[in-house]
Amino acid sequence: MKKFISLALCGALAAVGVLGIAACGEEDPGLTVWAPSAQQESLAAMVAAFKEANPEITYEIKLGVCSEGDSFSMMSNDPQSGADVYAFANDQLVNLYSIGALSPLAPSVVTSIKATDDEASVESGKLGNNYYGYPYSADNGFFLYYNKDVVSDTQAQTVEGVIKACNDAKMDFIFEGTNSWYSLSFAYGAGGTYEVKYDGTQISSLKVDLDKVPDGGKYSYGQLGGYELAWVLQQSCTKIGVDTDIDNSLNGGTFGACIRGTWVGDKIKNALGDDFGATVLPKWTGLDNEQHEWYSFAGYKLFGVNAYSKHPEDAHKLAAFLSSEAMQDKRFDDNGIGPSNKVVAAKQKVKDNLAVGAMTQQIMTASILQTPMPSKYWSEADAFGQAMLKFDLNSSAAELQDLVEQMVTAMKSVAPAQ
Amino acid sequence: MEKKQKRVVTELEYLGMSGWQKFCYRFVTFFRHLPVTFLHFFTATIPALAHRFWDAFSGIFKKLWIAMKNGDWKTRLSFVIMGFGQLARGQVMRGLVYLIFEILFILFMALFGAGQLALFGGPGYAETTEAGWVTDPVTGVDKYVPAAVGDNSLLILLYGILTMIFIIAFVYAWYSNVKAAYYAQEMKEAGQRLPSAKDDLHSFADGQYHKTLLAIPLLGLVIFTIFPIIFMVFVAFTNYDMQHMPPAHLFQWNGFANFQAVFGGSLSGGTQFGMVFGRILLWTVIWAIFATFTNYLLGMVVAIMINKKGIKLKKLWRTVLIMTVAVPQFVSLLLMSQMLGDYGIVNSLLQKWGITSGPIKFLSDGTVAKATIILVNIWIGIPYTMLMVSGILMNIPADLYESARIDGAGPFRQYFKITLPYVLHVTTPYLISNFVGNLNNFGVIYLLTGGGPTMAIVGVDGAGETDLLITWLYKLIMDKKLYGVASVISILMFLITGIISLVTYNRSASVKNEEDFM
Amino acid sequence: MAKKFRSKKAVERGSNAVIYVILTVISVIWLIPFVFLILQSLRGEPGATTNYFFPKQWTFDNYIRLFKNQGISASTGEVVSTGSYKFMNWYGRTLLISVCVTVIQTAIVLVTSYALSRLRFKLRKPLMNLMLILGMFPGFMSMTAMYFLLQLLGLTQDMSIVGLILVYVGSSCMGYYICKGFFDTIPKSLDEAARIDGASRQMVFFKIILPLSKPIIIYTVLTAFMAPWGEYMFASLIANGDPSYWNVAVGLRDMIQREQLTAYSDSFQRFCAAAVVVSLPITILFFLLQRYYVEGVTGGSVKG
Repeated sequence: MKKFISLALCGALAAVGVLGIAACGEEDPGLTVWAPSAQQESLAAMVAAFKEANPEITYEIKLGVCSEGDSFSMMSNDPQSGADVYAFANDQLVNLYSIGALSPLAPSVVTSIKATDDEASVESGKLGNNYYGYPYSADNGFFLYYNKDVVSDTQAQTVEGVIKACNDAKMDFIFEGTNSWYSLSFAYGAGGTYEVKYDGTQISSLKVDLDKVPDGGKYSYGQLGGYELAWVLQQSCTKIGVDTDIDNSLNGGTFGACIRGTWVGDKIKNALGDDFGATVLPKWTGLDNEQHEWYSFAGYKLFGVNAYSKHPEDAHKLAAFLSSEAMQDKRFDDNGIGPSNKVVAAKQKVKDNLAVGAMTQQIMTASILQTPMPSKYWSEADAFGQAMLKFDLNSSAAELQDLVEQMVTAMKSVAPAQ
Repeated sequence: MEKKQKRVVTELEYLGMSGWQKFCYRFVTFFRHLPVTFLHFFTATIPALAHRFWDAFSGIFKKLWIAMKNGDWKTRLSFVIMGFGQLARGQVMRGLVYLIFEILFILFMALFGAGQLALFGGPGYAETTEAGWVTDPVTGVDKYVPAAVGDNSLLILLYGILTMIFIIAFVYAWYSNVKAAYYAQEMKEAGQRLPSAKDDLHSFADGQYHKTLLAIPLLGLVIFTIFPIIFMVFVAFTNYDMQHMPPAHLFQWNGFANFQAVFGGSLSGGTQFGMVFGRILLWTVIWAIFATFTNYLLGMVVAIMINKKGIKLKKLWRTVLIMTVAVPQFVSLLLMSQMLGDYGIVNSLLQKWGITSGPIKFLSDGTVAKATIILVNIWIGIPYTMLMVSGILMNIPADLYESARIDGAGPFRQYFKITLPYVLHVTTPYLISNFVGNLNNFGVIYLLTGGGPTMAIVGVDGAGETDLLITWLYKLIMDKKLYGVASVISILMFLITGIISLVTYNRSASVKNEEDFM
Repeated sequence: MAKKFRSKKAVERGSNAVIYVILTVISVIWLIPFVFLILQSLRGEPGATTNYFFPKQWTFDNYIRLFKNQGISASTGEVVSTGSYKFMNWYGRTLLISVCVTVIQTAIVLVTSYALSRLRFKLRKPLMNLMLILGMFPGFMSMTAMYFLLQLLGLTQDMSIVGLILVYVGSSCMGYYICKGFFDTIPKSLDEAARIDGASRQMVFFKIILPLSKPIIIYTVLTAFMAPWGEYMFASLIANGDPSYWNVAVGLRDMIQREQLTAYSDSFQRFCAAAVVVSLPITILFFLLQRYYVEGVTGGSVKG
């Protein structure tokens, strides 16, 4: 019992001590920055540069790990203890805003970044009348990588060419057709128009143009708003593979081509050397004998400032600094991140990087802005991708069309009104 | 006019059965009685509990009333000043403990608890405002207007529950204080010696030793298990979801809306919810049955092989199998999921050796993935069963086998006559707990497939083919932030699994206590 | 007669041979993943996966880079620092947490089991039933409540070691089941004899029950020690993004996330090396104490 009492007393003392420490405020502006884990080294250097550029204030800056795609799930745990400045992908904008984790940019700042950065990248951070992010990267999309030894430059211009080349050489053509991020983009190039309005709770209007197909008809390109291309790619020769499957293919020497974003550029380049090729997504010919563009989503990455930050003005200063021209330049050098700043994007070294170059071109020629969507939009398209796998060449086109229509209905449905 | 009569096994017949028959008999009766047991649970056990609860409850007031009526001024003052009765009668330590507790409680309520309770449940929360910039019309300089952070309904709910728990603890202490004060008075009046501080201490090491032992474990249980559960029960009656994430947007009570959403099927925006729930529930049950029995039976077979007389290198075999127990599961399962990928090493080698032409979709095809998961679970689970059964096998009296051999029983008969019944008999509780554990087996599914692949049905909003209820619940929380609805579902799961295990445990224990093996 | 005897022996030998074959096959299947893990940690080629089993270049550098917090950059192929990745830091934290959890959890489980097995008090049965069903509640549903509770106490981030230990041991009394089963098998007559000699219940616990409980103590120690190494969810929540507050599981999981696999061509190999380093002490401990583990689990789980 005595022991117990003394233990309890010790515990109480310790608790008081902890509370005391917690109660002590810091004098210097303490800021926390989150960036993806692989950029920590680079981020540390940037933060040091920031401190150097602002010698009049002693900043206490802590670094944290959070990838742009996870920013909502990390922030939503406890927005008030989240980072002051953090990187996020533009499709997380609505959700981050709804938990109050974003503070708007000053009007004067908006004007200035509109002048320096790609306009679409600035707009991707807009919600209502306010802008909520400092853009720093315009490379979130996908395009074609190919092995020049297998696929010729001419063949790389059409889907049919790539498929044939890979099939003939018995090499892999890797494409993650069951993943909604890749599969959803087909329809945009097929003349199908999409209109998506998302208000944070649901898609208020989602329009998909589909040609009507007679019952019992066979599949044909160009008839189903592009969805048949996803299906054909799944069926004919592709590996439905992810990043690690690309590694596998490279290590095994069977890499023919793949559809992927800039992040795999380095390892493909290192493995293929002079045979490394990267270009915009190939065009595809429908049975209507017309060539269609294959669209990519275009996503941007931005720095956001937490509205709960204790030092919001310093945080805005830091976010602006981290997305400045010099830092985008450094980020390209350190991590090969494609810049949104126009000056940096125009530099020769950026153009020389085939992958980033292909991405930039893809975004300019055939892409659609990846607007914020509720998770349902993606999950239903994943289910659609799985359902499509079960089709075969003899299935009727009407079945596929039914499926597309079901998907659209499901995407538009709402969670119960609360 | 013959009435069809159920065959009843008499006690005599039962005693005449072999061990194996006894087991079968018990197995069958167990399940035959299960509905009755459940019925009994609701018609008898719960009313009996309620009755006992009422007795205890009214007893409290009775005791308080008596203490008030018959108590002297010292006892009566204890109603207000805790520990006064003890202090006045010379039980200094007891009195001080009560008094300090009361002071702490008053401090806590004044400084923290009262404020939290006043806000509890709203309405009248202060909303958080949005941050923004104001441009000075003259200078053109932007000035930042920070967000005014208002109330946080999450923290208010949390702290409110904490305060309530503390109040309950206080009421209990107050009651025991009054009771003890009156008891002391009675003892004094009867001329008995009051227990001194030393006696008290000694009783905590002996007569009341359970209180000493269980104080800290139960404190942990209340704070780290019961408190979060109460919190989630409260959340089930709120609209805590993606659009109501405090402090930006506060959640409020919304009555039974979440229950309606779950039962009415309006969740997930369509008629699919019931179907999804049904499918996941079905797979959860199938999984639990397979995972439990494959591991159990195969583990026993392996154990018997290793422990067979004449098999050498026993230690080696056992050691090899134990690797899966010793290496952390998240490592081995993540590795497994990588190896079994569509283009993982297993598929690569199978194709290289010409065994298959295309990849086997171990983890990316719904049906195959289900089989894979059960197989991988065997890989993980067999060693546990093997270890346990090995120990049991060593405990089976050797003369049983000896006499069986004299009777001319071969190895198979020995197995069915002696080994199996014996092992089954002693491991029934393990089997039940394993089954219930598998119903909620989060780790294996989460690490191996993450619930995937997505069901190939449009409209299910991300539910996967291999999702168990528990991993699906995880998705509802993590991806969709449907805290309210998820709380409702977890309460339902909790009730179902809780009742199953209570009934089966108590039933199996009673069966076991009735008579022992052989 | 002699012939029959021999044939019986032949059957015996035949069945043993079959068993040997089966056991060998099982052992191979059981070991392949671990062999693969070790091989991958010694692989010199870049990239996350290969389509062959044995590495083409053997190297020990993955371990060296792991301990030096370095990685091979995917873009340049040079060895670079991995920034805030400090494997030894995670390892040390996890070890510390593990040891504390082991001590506290073992104590809690032992006293709870003793109380439930030997002492008779009014709420014993309801308490056992309550603890039984409380474990059915999905653990992650309570993460939000626990997180904000710890934050109230100031036990997140830099105090997260204390916070994690509290969370891990907080409900450990619910794991009384096997230990209580073991205590139940110790004959009650021993206690009674001691009680007659005037021993208090506390003395019975310390002087009689505990000395007889070596297997179950070791079993409890082993299970308690192993659990924190694989815990991922709460550790990652409480660290709130700061890698210096991670534990081994969070760190290892991050090593095979896309960012890492993209930035470093040896991330997967280092993951394997780290996994080997993490598994090694647990495995050795396990093998040394195997006998007690078996005795504990057998003694405890069969007499509930």
